[in-house]
Amino acid sequence: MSLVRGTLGILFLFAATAVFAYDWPAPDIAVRKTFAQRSGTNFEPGLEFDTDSGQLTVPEKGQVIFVFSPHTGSPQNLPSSLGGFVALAHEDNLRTVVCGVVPQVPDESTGLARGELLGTNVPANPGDLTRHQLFVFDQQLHEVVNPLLVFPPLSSNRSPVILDVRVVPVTGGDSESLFAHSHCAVGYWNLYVDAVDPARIGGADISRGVYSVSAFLNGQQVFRMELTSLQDKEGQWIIKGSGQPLASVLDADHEWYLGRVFFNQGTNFLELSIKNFQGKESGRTFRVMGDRP
Amino acid sequence: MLFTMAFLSEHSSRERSGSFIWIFLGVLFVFVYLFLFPRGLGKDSFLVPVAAYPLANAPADAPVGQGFLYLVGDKEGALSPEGVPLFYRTTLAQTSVSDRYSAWFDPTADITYVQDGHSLLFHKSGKAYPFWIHNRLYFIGDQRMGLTEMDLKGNPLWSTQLGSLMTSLASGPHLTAVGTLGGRVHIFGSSGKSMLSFAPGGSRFQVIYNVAISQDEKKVLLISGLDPKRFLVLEKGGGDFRPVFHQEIKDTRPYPTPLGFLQDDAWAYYTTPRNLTLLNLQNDHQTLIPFQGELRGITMDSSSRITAVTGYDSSSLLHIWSTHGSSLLYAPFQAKDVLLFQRGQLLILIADQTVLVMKRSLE
Repeated sequence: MSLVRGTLGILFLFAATAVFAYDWPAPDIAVRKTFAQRSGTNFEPGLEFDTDSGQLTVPEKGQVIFVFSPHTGSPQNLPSSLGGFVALAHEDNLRTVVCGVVPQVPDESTGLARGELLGTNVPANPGDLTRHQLFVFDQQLHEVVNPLLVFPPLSSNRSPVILDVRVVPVTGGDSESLFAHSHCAVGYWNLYVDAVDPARIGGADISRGVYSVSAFLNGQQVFRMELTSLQDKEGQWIIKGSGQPLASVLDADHEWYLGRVFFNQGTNFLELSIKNFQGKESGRTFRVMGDRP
Repeated sequence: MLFTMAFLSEHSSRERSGSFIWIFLGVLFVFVYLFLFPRGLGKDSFLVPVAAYPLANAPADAPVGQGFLYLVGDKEGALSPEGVPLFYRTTLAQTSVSDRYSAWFDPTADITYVQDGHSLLFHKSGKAYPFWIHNRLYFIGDQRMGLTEMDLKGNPLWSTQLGSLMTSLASGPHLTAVGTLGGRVHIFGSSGKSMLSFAPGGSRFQVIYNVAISQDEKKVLLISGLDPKRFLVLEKGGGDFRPVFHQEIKDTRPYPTPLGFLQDDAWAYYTTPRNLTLLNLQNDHQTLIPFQGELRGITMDSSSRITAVTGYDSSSLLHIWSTHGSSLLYAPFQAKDVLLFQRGQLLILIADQTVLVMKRSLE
């Protein structure tokens, strides 16, 4: 009996450590930009976060494989918004990169334990804009993974919001907001959803990207996409599992293109569901009258 | 002659005939050596200081004219073709220069400005970070995972997304080589077509630390992997690049270290914590040159003399080495930010706030 209890205890501990395998590099992380979020022509392949912590720490035991400190005299002093950063290789074939730090790791590649100092939170040059970013790469699958699937969940008291739902005739023409119009001509329409995950960080309201969007038309699923990981294929980001280019799905800031839908004559029910990265869900149902043109 | 006469008079005829044979053989050896293995008498290479200029007196702004721009430390400046300072000032963050072109990213407005001398060529909105290599302008994506080459009118020539962080970037006249954190090196043609996507193996961790491409675009150098780190030479054969030389290197530093070509791509070099390694790309002969600190600049002249600056913190050393590794000269000086380059016949050393213009002379 005690053997069974002991085994169960070990299994529980193993499960607990597996679930919380990674720690956030600072205890007070506030996510400013979410995975795959579009800003103009750029996509966030990780997370952008704020922290007041003066030190950023190792998220999980790993080997330091790359360190970058911006300095003009250094070889390959490539410019970016990342500032200084440290990349670690972990035993599970994941690699994490913590950016916006002044690296404080040894000059030689070394193994670091979880919680050890990675870098300090000080701008490399006075006046520099310090933005912290966190990336997770799966070295085996050759993809960029949503960090919120690897790191412990963050609390959120707000739900995502559908700002607008638009349809545009596939033959071209003006878009119509389903918030304002309930009649559409029978036929194919392109469907767009404007959705955000609102948050308040540092006293300012910000709009973050959402994690998933689903759409059902007359009970049939017409779209479902979750931003779990991205792969690069032929020079562009592809949403894993869908094969679709990220730029064609997120076709503008916070705007998702859901594809073509067909409105039948009479009443059509369009149901939309969105989730944020904390799993909070919002939904909306539209009744669209299909009219003969 | 006196010695020979004395020698002949004091020795027996048998001894004399034996000695004649030895003298004859000696003379023959000298003649054979002189006529069959003729050598030049050799010339010594000298670095002749031409001028020294303090940068503290240079104005903060002036036309570049026929001059060229440079970056050193957190400063940017321009020199005339003769090495005379035209201006010198603290640079804006995220500035890149090449010859007379400059570009910088303004993070407060998310705008990139590109200039030719003092004339604005174009500006572009969005988070893109400019980087010049030999008059080719690249915009590096916000997170070092995207790369776009731009023309001088602000139009993208080609663009690509990388699935990993860019760790290194090199350019030839037509090709672009990119190394990534994921351990893959990509080579793109002038229209962005992928010519190579190669992940060197043989190490516990795959990473590309540095990449260099020769000016004739036939060779690519790589520092890749960790545990162990490896140095590779890829050579173009047909339409493909293939590894033709690779070796483990004793280095565990997890960041890009100096790597490049010297003397019209005849030599390759890289550094380990204690040595500069030179590889003759014609015969794979290697030379190890010990040094301390970091390599801050290196050039090789047509007589195969290597001029380099090493050092750390504020201590620097100017060296002249032969390709056999002999130290021909070294001169210590105090400077933290150093730039050493060859410009025509001039060798220019910018050391903190001083410009030293030198000329190579063979005598």
